[in-house]
Parts: sequence; C-alpha cells; structure tokens
Amino acid sequence: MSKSRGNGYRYQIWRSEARKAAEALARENQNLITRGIDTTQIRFEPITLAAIEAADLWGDEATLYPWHDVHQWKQADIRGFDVSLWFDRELCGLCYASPRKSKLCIKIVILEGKPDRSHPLRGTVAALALTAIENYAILIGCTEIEVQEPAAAAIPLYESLGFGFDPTGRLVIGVER
Amino acid sequence: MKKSKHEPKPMMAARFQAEAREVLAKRSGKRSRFLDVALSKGSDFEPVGRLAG
Repeated sequence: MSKSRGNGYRYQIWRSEARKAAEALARENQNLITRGIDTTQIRFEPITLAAIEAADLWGDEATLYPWHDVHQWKQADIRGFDVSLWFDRELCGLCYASPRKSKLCIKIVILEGKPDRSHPLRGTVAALALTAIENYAILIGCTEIEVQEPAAAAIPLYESLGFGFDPTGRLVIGVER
Repeated sequence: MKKSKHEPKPMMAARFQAEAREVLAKRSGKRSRFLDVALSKGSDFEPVGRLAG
C-alpha cells in the first residue's frame, strides 16, 4: 500500500474512532439522561447518502448547503471530518470540518442543525459535533478549533462553549486533551 | 532480497484503531465540556438550522 493510501486509511479510521468516542460519551452523559433523552438512540455517523437524503427532507427552512458535495470533498481532502448526528432514524445535525493545509487548526466549514424546534437533540447539535471534532483534532495533532463563518445568532452559543475571537477576528478555541 | 514492508490492511486497521483508542482513552474530564455547557443553557439557547458556514 502506498504511503498516501495508508494515510488515507489512517484518517478514515481516526474519523470513525472520533465519532465512536463522542457517541459513547453522549450515551453515558447523565445530564442528557436526566433530560429524559434515551441516549442509546444517539448515533454519530459519517455523512452518507442516507444522511443527505434525510437532510433533503428538512424542508424550506433548511439552509441550501452543498451536503451533496461532501462525498466529493472527502475524496480531495483526506484529513476532512464529516459527521451526521442521529436520534434513532431522525437526522438532527450535519457538520463538515477540515484542517485543510494546517497542522494546528481544524476549521468547522459548515454546521447545521435540523430546522425544527422539537427534535430530540435540540440545543446540543453544536456541542455534540464539537465533541467529535475535538476527538479528531487530538488524533491528527491539531491544537485549535476554528468556526469559519459562524451564524450571527449562534455566536453567543460558541462564546458560552468557550470560543473567543482572536486579534485577527477568528472565532477559536484551544483543544483540551 | 529485501524483505517487503507490506502490512495487510486488517492489521493496519487494527493498529490505527488501537492508536486512536489509546489516545482518546487518556482524555481528561474536560472531554464533555461542550455538552455540559450546552445542557446547562437549555434547548432554546442554540439557534435552529444554520450554525456555521
């Protein structure tokens, strides 16, 4: 196997392990359980065709993100990270992040929750996605997470999660090991 | 003759998986920091739909 093919395989497995660890953490989270959520139904998956088809059903309130292009992005971006958040068969969130050429910073390129005020993971989409992204950031050696183009209405949320604007205007947080 | 360094794919997968699990198992108690904050803020604090991008 060539080195680049081996690396591609390494990142594929690391993405999977980052998702699995985040899923395990969510499933054992007592605060979620106390909230009445059956955490055994929470799943972290890649952005598959099934996820894209489910997002297509989100309706007119959904942002017209290019989720259909994610498969193509993943081919060209071996260190990119994709995650879809499910509760049983209900798609609740989608995220694509990538360090691109950086060795230090992984960037959240797009993040979207289901545009519905009543889905079971409401209020936790960014936190769940970030948990998986932070796992992956640790595995690939990144020390910082950046939210690119944060939605204005979500900035207070990111700030409460610990993000802050650096002197160049980037919304960032340090990775905690 | 030089010995081949070829590593079968299942062995490579097991190695990458073990490396990742070892690293993630060592994470501190801060690994649930995002979730803990989000849950303390309540469901309505996060906007629905677009969050970034």
